[in-house]
Amino acid sequence: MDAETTVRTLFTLAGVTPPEDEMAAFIEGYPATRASLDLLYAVPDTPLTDGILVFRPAD
Amino acid sequence: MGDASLPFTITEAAAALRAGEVTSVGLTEACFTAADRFDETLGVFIKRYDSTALAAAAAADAELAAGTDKGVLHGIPLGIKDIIACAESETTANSVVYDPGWYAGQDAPVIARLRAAGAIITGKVTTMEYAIGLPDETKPYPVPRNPWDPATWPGGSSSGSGAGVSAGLFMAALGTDTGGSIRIPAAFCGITGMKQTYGLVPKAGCLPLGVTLDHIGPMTRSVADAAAMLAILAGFDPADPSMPPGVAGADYPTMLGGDLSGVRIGIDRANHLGKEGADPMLEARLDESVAALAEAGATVVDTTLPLFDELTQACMITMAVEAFAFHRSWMAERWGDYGLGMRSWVGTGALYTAADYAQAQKVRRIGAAKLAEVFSSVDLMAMPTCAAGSPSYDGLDMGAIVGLIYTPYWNPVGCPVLSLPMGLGATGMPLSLSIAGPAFADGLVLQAGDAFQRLTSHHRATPPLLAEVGA
Repeated sequence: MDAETTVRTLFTLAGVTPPEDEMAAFIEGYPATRASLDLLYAVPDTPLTDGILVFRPAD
Repeated sequence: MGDASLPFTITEAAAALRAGEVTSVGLTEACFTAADRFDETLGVFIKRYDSTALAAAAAADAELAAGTDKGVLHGIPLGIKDIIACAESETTANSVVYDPGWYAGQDAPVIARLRAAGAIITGKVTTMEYAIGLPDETKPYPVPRNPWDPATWPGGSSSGSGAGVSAGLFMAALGTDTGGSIRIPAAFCGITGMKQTYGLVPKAGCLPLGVTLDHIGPMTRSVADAAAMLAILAGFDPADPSMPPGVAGADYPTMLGGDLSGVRIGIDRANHLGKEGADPMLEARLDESVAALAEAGATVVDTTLPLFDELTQACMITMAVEAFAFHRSWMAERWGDYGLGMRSWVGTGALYTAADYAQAQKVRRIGAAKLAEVFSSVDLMAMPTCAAGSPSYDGLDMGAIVGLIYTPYWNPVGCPVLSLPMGLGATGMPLSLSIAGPAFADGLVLQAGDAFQRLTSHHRATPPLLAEVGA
């Protein structure tokens, strides 16, 4: 899916409709957004993977 | 408080109050006089509490005269960032999109603690909208400006807090910090700011930006003042579920002393120097600061922080997603009512997936573990807060600014960080040193900052604006 389709779809799913000039800016910036995520997914896994989102039922 | 004959810091004012040299009413009136003089230029106050503040100051004077002493903040005028609830007025978050009934007539726990300690609340001050973005001249709020050069940005998002302390509109302030919003305006305005350990100070009654990254903390003219405020602010409150049960602060002022013998401080040059757009004086100011820390007795050694870019990105993604989750319903109905800077930032939160958010949290956990390894070989870390001083409003570009700001690294790992002045840069604007430590080593961080300020005078420099009017 290309950046424009992806960004428009994600905003539609979120129920938010920026005007076209702002939508264009989000689309233009989307490759950089994905690149920042690639950086995170490149961090090697460790045993700390477990428990990254903590839920304590007694809280 | 631009009046040079008045005490400069809280610590000095507390002594002067008890010596009968000043009164709380006098201090508070001096702050409002400074506001009358400078605020049209600086855009600090959203709402002033003149009558209630002066009444509280008169009560403080009467209490002190009667021998009822509530401690160092008794009778001290403070400013409050307008995302923190105060009973006197609604909390606007510098936005036209807000719930006027939220915490109506109530104090956030931190405000209640400050009042119980005798502090004087002078009013609510400007913030970036919901603590993110840039000022928007199309919205009905003041545009905050830097007392060191009103053509420049005071930093954000705790803009009014930074500018107000720097210009003497109050003696100290509360700010909040999700990716640097205390430390950046402290750096740009030449004052001291503290982001203490996550979960040490309750943030109930504070509108969220990124709930797992947000901190409320002190912005002051000295580290000793920050220590005094943190001692009042810290400690468990059941209204904030992010606080570890039973977490307690400490008597931080008693931990200060000036001697850093036996303290090992890592200096991160690799991630902080040599950036395009950096102030030409940055490395020299850092070297001078390192020399001062060594003079205080610390052992300094070059140390590179792990996963610097990764944790910075984890902060940005977490902030955007958590902020979008909070604002989504309003954004669906009132997108254009938000300022362009705010909605451009927060809107990106719609573009990440749930897996992306979870990955960011995984990187936080891995980063915290790697940082713990660093803190097994050094006690503290030191580095520049930002690569350059305050940028001009002319052509202000948040994308360019982000690359010169080093603060977001520390929020995902929750460590305490102190930002303090380290001299002027090539443009004549303040530059700032950050000192960080492992979680809950807030006392040691303050101790190092105080030792630095005992050997330097950067924190006592005042903006040219004050001298120009003879203040």
